[in-house]
Amino acid sequence: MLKSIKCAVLTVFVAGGAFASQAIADEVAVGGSDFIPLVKDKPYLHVIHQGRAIKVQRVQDPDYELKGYFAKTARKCPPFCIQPVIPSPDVDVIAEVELFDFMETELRDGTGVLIDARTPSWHKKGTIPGSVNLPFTQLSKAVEDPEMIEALELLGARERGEVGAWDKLMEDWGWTDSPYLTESWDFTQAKDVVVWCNGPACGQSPRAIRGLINVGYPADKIKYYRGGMQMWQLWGLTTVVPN
Amino acid sequence: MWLNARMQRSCIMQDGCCSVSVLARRAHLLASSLCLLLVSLPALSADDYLSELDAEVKKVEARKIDGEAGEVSVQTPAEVSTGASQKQAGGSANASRESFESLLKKNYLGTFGFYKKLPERSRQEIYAEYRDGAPISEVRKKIIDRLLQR
Repeated sequence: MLKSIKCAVLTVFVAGGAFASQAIADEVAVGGSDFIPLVKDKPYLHVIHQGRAIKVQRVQDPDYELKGYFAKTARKCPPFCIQPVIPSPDVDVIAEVELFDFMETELRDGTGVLIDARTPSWHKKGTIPGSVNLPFTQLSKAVEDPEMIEALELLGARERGEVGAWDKLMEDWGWTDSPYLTESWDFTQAKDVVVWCNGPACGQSPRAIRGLINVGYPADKIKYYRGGMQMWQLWGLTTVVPN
Repeated sequence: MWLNARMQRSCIMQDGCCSVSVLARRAHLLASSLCLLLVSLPALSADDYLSELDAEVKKVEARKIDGEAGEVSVQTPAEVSTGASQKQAGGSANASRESFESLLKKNYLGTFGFYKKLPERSRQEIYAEYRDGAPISEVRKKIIDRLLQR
């Protein structure tokens, strides 16, 4: 009995020692305490942008200070007024940590889309890796507009075509489970989207979000990265200039 | 309610009685005036907003010419780092694999269990596929296939 207890205690000490050694090895492997990770235990991540793998990481110089346009503290208001946190009811607002998670899961899986809702002239200057450019001007169009139809199909929504009178009646009475159906679109397979623009004082992505909701895109499939390019750059995160 | 009370007092002072129709008419007039006031406030049209956005982009471009770009870590897709020549290349590769394993463990515990059962060489190959951009669903399928030796 005593022998087995001693064995168990020894096993615990050996396992603990092995764990500590591994942890030390890990710390050395990321370059020690000087390395600035994305978040704790996540030094960087990879996303695909225009078919190429892009490494998203932070600027490693702790003395680096942001300069230029996104370091400005104020712009003319209107139109560049500080935006409310919630652009529309039921739309979740996220920050960088949640965006990293999204990039590593839904974006990678193809079940999510990261939308740069700025006009093309902004997008061309540099964007968050993994983003597709769907300007707010396109996402604010009417549901029957060809540009909006193109955007919705890209985002996984499907046109319903002719809906039978009986099916319509069942839906109207709430007898069929149809939270993602509108009169003309089926959003059941629509992707989760994260929409962003230049930052908390940019109205482009809030307009895009409201445009999507107006045509029936489910609010619970939309997330707003309010920090946008301003916060992305403030954290020293990688941007890409599209081809 | 406060507004109705004031209207009532003004009615009483004028002719000693409160007429409902008079009150209603005054309320309607007040509401219409408020609406007109709101409508007359300058509103930014869609075209105005787009013009302002274009003007801002030009400002940024002008600054860039002056050398105040301020962009951080801008890289074109053609300039993606392979990590081979970086100072922390070896350490970074290990850290990145740990990051992959943490992701598996956090989000796909079952698959992580299968992954741990694989020989080291298979684990390296699986990680290499993930690093090269394979979707996580494909990576998970590969783990299971390897385990079942398919």
